[in-house]
Amino acid sequence: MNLQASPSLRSAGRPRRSMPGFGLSLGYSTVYLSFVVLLPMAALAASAARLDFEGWIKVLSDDRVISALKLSFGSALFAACVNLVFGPVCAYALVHFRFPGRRALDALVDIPFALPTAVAGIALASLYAPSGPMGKAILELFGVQVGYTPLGVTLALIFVGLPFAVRTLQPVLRDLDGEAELAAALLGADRPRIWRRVIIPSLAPAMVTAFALSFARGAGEYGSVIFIAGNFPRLSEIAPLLIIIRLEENNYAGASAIAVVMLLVSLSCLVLINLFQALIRRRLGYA
Amino acid sequence: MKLQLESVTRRFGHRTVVDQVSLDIMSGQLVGVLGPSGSGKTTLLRLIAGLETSYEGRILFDGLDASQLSLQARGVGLVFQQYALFRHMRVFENVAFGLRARSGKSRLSSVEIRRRVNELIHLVQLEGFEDRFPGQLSGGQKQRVALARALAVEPRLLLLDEPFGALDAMVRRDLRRWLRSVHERTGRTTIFVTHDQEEALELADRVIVMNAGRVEQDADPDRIYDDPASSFVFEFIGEASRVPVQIRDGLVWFRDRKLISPRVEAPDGPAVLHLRPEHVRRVEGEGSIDVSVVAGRRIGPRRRLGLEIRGGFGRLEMDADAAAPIRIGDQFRVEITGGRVYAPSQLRPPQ
Ligand SMILES: Nc1ncnc2c1ncn2[C@@H]1O[C@H](COP(=O)(O)OP(=O)(O)O)[C@@H](O)[C@H]1O
Repeated sequence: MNLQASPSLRSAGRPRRSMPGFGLSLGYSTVYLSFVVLLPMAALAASAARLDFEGWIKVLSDDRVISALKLSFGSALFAACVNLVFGPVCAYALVHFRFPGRRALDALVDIPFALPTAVAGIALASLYAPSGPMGKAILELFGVQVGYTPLGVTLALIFVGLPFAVRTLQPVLRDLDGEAELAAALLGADRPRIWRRVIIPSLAPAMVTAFALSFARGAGEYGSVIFIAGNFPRLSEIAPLLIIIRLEENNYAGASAIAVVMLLVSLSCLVLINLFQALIRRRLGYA
Repeated sequence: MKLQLESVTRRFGHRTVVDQVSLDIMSGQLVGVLGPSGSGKTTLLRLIAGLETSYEGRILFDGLDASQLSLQARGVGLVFQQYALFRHMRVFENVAFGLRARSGKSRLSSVEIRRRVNELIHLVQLEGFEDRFPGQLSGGQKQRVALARALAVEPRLLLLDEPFGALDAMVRRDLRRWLRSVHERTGRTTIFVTHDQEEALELADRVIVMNAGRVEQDADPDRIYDDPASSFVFEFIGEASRVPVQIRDGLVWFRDRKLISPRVEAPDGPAVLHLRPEHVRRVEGEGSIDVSVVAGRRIGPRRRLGLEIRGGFGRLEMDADAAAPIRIGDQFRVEITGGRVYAPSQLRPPQ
C-alpha cells in the first residue's frame, strides 16, 4: 500500500514546481561540483592508472598499507560508534537541562571544530603519551598504554568526531516533542523504554548522519592524529600519513593507489549509509 | 476515581499561576475547566497529571497523596493539546504503546493486545487507518488517536487539554458530540480544559471557571449561565453589556427611573448593571431607557442590535427578529427585564 499517493498531490503530467530557479541552481551546482569534486577525483584516478596490475597487487598486498588502511577505517568506525553514544547524551543534556556552565559547555563542544588540528594533536599527544599526565595515570591504573597505539588514534578520532555528532543531534532533539516523552511516561513506560522506543527512533535518521559525519571525518583525519599516533609502521601508522610518506619518496603512483583505495572505501561507506538512512526513514515513517 | 485538590498553589517565580485551588471531583463526572488563555488551566491539568511536581497544597487520588505516586502509577491519561503522538509509530502502535509498556503480571499477550487495540480503534472510528503514520492523518483523526492511546491503559482519570483547540468549527462540533457519547459509554472521570464557553457549557456536567489562577465559579452549566458568581464569569460566559446605575435601598435606578429588577445586595451609590441581550426588551410608550440603534448583525435566526443609550450613558445589546423592520438610526425605548449588579467583592476584571 502506498500511503503517500494522495491523489490531490499527484496531478497528471509534469509536476509544476512552486520554487523558481530550479534550472539555474541545478546547473550551477553541477558545474561547481564538477570543478571542486569530480575533477580532482578524476585526476586521482588518472594518476593511479599509471600503475599496472602487478603494481596494484604490490601496493595492496603490502602489509604496511593494509594495516594503515585497517587502522584508519577501523578506528574511525569505532570512534563513530563511541560518538553515537556520547553525542546523544551530550546533546540531550545541552538541550533539556538548565545548569550553570551550560553555555560554556555548549561552546566547548565546538573546540575540536575550531582548533587547528595540529594544536589539538599536540595537546592530546602531550596529555596521553606514556609520559604525559593522563597517559601515565591510565598506564599505572589499568596497565593500558594510550599514546602511540591504535587506542590513542581512536581517542583522537573520538575527539574530532564528537562535535559532528552533537551538532547534528542538537537541533533534532530541540525540535523533538518533549511532550511525546511525557506522554510515554504517563502511559506507563519507564526511562529505558522511553529512550528505546521514543527518543532514539525519533533521532535515528540524525544519528545515522552523525555517525556518517564522524566516521568520514575520522577516516581522513590527519593533523590531530599523527602526534598521538606515534606512527609506528604496521602498528599506529594511519593511511593518510602513509600517502604522504609515499609522496616524499616520489612514489606518486603508490600514493595515488592508497588514495584511490581510501576513496573507494569511503564512497562505499557513504552509499551504504545513505541506503540505510533511506531504509530507516521509511521504516519509521519519515518519508 | 475521586480526585481532591486542597488549596493547590503553583508559582513560577513571583507569578502565582494556580492560586489556592480546592476541588472535589467525583467518580464518573465530566468536568470542564473554562477560562481565558493564561488563566492557569493547563498548569492545573499538568499538576493533576503529575507533570508539575512543585506546588503547595495537596492533591489526593482516592484519598492518597498524589506526590507519593509516580507518574506511571497515577493512572492518569492525558491528551495533550498538540496530541504528542509518536510520529515514528503507526496508529496501531501508538494505541498499543501503553499496553506494551506493561511489565510483570499485568502484561498482555500479543493476541490480547491486538484485540484491545482493535476495540479502541473501533471506538474512535479509525478502522482502516491502523497502518498510517500520524503525519498522514488530519487534525481530528490525530485527536482521536491520542484519545484511543490514552484510553488503552484504562486510566482512572482522563485529562484533555483544549481537546478541540486546533480543529475547525465543523470537526469541533462533531467531535464534541462524539466525546460526550464516549464518556457516556465508558463512564470515566474526565476533566477537559477549554477557553471556549460554548464548548464547556455544552459538553460538561460541571464547569469550573478560572480567572488569574483562581476558581471563580464551580457549578453546573445552567447555574453558570443563569447565575454567574462574579462580573468576570458574567462577561466571560456570554454576551454582556454594562449600564451605569445608582443603587438606593437595594433598588436599581437609572437616572430618575427605577429599573425592573429584584433587590440587589450592593451598597448604595453608583454601580454597574450587567445585562445580557435577552434582558433588554423594546416597549412602546413608557419605557425605562431611550436608545438609538447604532449597529446590527445577524446571529443565527435573530438579529443582534447594538443600541446607544441616549445622553451618552453607554451601549446595550438586544436581540430582535431578523425580519423586524429596524434600521440604524431608529430610536425607541427599552425596558430591562433582568441582569445582575455585583457587590464590590464580586467585581473582578479579567486579568
Ligand atoms: N513553565 C512555566 N514557566 C513560567 N511561566 C509559566 C510556565 N508555564 C506556564 N506559565 C505561565 O502561567 C500562566 C498560565 O499558563 P497556562 O496554565 O498555560 O494557562 P492557560 O492554559 O489557561 O492558557 C501563563 O501566563 C504562563 O506564562
